[in-house]
This record gives sequence, structure tokens and C-alpha cells, in this order.
Amino acid sequence: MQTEDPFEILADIEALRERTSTALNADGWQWMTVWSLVALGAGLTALVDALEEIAGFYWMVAVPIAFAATALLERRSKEQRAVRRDSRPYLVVGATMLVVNLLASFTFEPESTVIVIWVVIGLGFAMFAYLDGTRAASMMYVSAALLSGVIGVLATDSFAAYAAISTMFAGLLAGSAVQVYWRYRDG
Amino acid sequence: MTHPTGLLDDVIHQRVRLGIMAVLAEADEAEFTFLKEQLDLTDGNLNRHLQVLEDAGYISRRRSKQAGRPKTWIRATKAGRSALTEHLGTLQRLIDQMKGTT
Repeated sequence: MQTEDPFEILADIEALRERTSTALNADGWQWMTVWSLVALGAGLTALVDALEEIAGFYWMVAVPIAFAATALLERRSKEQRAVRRDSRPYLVVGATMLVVNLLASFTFEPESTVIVIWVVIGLGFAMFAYLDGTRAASMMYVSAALLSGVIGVLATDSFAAYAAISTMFAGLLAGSAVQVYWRYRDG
Repeated sequence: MTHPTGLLDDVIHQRVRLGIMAVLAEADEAEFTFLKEQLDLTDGNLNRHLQVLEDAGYISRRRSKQAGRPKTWIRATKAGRSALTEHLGTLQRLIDQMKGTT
């Protein structure tokens, strides 16, 4: 920051913001991995006959465990980082996702609920990415949410569609986790 | 009409302080050592700039202990965030005017 040129001042500010954002998002791959496994598990309950019985209560068990794991990871990460962001907006989004999906399970038929869940999750992840300041990732999750809705409407077998969407989200989250890990591993 | 340079905030316009505010605008809270490393400053130099920002009501400091070590956490106040937004807007207007005259 050794200049009076407004162009360069703004460029320096942007570079500082970018470095701060890097430090803030460096551990994001951890919660992405957790939720990728949750999505993969959801897909498996729809695909594997032996896991069919688990499907009914899968989300009730998986979601609290995943939320607890995310909270623990975030807490550990906060203790290690020299820069922090407010967790409350993330909690609000997470709680909204939970409540909306819970209400959806009472409102819609099971065949529709399995798709609605993913639309809501997709939009929730888009909001998380937006809060992280990663607009491209946010757009990716909005697209995934919309695609889930379209697949849900067009599919003749909603549980096959559910398996496909679950696998898509597992892949997206795993891919994002790998990308974040490689991008920020030295941050 | 006032020229944009007349609207620049002298407290924030200083380059190091502008850097501090830019980091704090992105994060909710930053530790003293993080700011020191990002801005490549000495303890004394950073402290002086923090004091100016604190006196202007743009930042607040809190001290805590982590694993027995004292840590100083700095955050931008609401006034500080508004001042930064306004200042960056003024800089942008200045750039737009420069573009208009070239």
C-alpha cells in the first residue's frame, strides 16, 4: 500500500479483502465433506435395498449429527484462526433449512417431499456460499436446486430421481471440498 | 458541487488505516497478529494506527486469553463500516471523473 493512485488503492484493498476471505474460508472443505457424506448416504438409502428401512428416519439421524459435526468443526477452526466471521447468519440459514424441510414433510406427499428437501438444501447451500463471498459457488448451488426441481417434476420415479439428485449433491459438495482444500491449503 | 477529494475521510484515507478497515470489513473480527502480518507492520506502528481509528470510533478492541496467551481482537464498528463504504464510494467517483477527463 504505497500509492496515492485511486486505481491502485482500490486494487490493494481488493487484494487485502481476497487474502482475508482466503483465511476465513480455508477450513470450509471440512463441513463440505461432512455434508457430501450425508448426501451420499441419502442416495444410498434410495439405491440399496438393504438400506431401504433406514430411509424413513435417515434425515432425522443424519442431519443432527451433521449439524453437530459442523458446529464442532467451526468451533475448532475459530479457535485456530486469527480472523473470524459472525456465525449467526449461517445458523439462521441452517435453522431455516431444517424448519422448511420439516414443514415440507408434513405438507407434501412423500414422493414430492424427497425432491423438495433437495431444492431447499440447494438454496440453503447457495446462501452459505453467498455468505462466504463465493458468488460462483452460490450460483452453482442455485442451479443445482433448480435442476432438482425440474428433475422432480419430470421424473416418473421420484425415488430414482431422489437418488440421482442426492448423488449429484454428494458429487458437487465433494468437488467443492477438494477445490477449497487445494485453493486454501497454504492459507 | 464539492470535488470528491474534499469528501475523502482523512482518518481512513491513510493507506495503512484503509488496509486495516478493508480487512475488518471482510471479517467480523481479526487478531492483532493477523493485521500485523497482512499489512507488514511492526507492533508499535499498528498500535498507533489502531489508536487513531479507535479515537474516531471506527474500531473497537477486546482482549482475551487463548491457551494462556493474551490476544487482542479488533472489529470495525458500525460507524467504521459506513465510513469505509463512503470512502470507497468517493474513491470510485474520483476514478469515474478521471476516466471522464481522459
